[in-house]
Amino acid sequence: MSAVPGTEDPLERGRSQLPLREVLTCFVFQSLKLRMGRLAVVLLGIAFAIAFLTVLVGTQMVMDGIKRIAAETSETADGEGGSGAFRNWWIVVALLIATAGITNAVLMSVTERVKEIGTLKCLGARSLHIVEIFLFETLLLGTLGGLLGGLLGVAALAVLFGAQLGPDFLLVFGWRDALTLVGISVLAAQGISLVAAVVPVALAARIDPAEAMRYEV
Amino acid sequence: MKTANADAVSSASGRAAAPPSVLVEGAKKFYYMGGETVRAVDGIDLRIEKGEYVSIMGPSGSGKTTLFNIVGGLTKPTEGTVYIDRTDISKLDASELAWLRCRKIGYVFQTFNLVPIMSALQNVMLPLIFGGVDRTEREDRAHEMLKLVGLGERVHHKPTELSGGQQQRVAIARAFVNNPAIVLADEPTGNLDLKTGLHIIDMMIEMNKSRGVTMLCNTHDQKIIKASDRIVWVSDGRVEKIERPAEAQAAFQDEGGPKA
Repeated sequence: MSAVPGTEDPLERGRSQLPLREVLTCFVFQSLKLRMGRLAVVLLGIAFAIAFLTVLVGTQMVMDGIKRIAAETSETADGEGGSGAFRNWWIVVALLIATAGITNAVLMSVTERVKEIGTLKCLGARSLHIVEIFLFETLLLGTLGGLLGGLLGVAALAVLFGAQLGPDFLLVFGWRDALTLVGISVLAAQGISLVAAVVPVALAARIDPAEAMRYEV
Repeated sequence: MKTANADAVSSASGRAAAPPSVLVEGAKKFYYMGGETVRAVDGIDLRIEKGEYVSIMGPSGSGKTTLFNIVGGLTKPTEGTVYIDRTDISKLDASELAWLRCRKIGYVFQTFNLVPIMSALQNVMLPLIFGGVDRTEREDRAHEMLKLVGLGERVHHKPTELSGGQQQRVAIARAFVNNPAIVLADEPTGNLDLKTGLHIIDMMIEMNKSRGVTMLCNTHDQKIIKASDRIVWVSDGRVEKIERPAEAQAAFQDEGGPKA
C-alpha cells in the first residue's frame, strides 16, 4: 500500500472478515427462514428428484436383498437382473433434473439480490465472503431437500415393495438399509448442490459494487 | 481545517499542513462502449480537507457518479491518483479495497439499501463484523449509534417495518458506526419528502460537525447545498467551478434552478 510521500501509512493493516458463525447466523439461516415461502417450491422440486433417485437406488438394494435370501435358501432368484443399466440411466436423469433446479434457484436468488451484494461489498465484504454466503445457503437447501427426498423415497419404497412382498419386505430391507439410503440421498443432494452452485456463485462474487448500486431489479 | 481559498483545487505543491481527507490528482476514467471511448471523468483535481462538507453538483451524465465511485473506492481510475486519508487507492488490490471501504468509508444511498432480511441492529453491525469487532462490542456500538439517530426503540425492526426516513437513519448509523474518515452520500434525500429530508440533512450535518467526519454529498437539495462548506460543479467529466454556498445560492436564484 503506498501513501502520500512523507506521511505514514494510516490504513492499519488488515483484511475484512466474516467468521463462519456470522455467515450462518446473520446470513444463511435468516435468509432461508425469511425466503422459505418461495424456497419451499424449490425444496419440493429437489426433494422429488432425490426421492426418485432414492427409489431407484433402494430398488437395487431390495433386489440384492432378495437375491441374497434366495441364495441362502438355495432357491432360484427371480429378480430382474437385466434392467440395471436402464436404472443407472434414470439415476443420471434424476441427478440432472435436481442440478438444474438448484442452479435455477441460486441464479434467481443472486439476480434478485444484486443490490444486496453490492451493498455488502460497499460495507467491506470481500468476494470470498459472498461466495461463502451463497455456497452455504445452497448447501443447506440441498441438505434439507436431500433429507426430505430421502425420507419420501424410503416411504415410497416401503409402499411399493411392502404391497408386493408383505412382511417379507422387512427381511430384505431393514432399518439399517433405510438409514444408509437416506444418508446416500443427503450426500448426493449436497454434492449436486455444490456443483449446481458453482456458476451462480461465481457470478455473485464478480458483481462490481459500483454497477450493482445502479442496478434496477 | 478548511482552506481559506475557495478555489482549493489542489496541486501537489499546494498542500496544507494537515493531510487532506481526499486528494484526487488528474483522475480520468474511461469506459469503452461499442467501440467508442466514453470519458466519464476527464482529468479531475480535487482536494477535500478533513471534516469538510462538500457537495457535488452537475447534470446527469456529467461524471459525478463516476467521480463519486472513484472517491468511494468502488471504481479505480484509468489514470491519475486518488488518496483517501493518505492511502493511494489506485494501488490497492481487491481485498485491500474492501478493507479500505470497511474502515475508511461510509456510504449513504438514495434508495437506503439496507439488507432486507436483517433488522436495523444487524444492518448497523455489518461494517463492524467485516471490521473484525467482537460480538459484544459490536452490539453495544450498534445500539449506541441507533440511539444517536433516534431509533433506540426500533432496533429489532426489519427495513420493511420502517418508514423511508427511518431507513435512511439506519443507513446513516451504519455509515458512521465504523468511525470512517469520509462518508459519501448519493442523493440522500432524493427518495424522501421535504420534512423527512430536512431531518436527515440535520442529522448528517450534526454527525459531520460532532465527529469531524468528512462528507461528500451528491445532491440537488438546496438545503444540503446551503449547509456545505463548498460546492463542486462537475460538467463533462471535469470540475467546472468550486463555489461557496452563498455564491451557489445566488446562482440558484438567478436561474431558478441548478445549472445544467
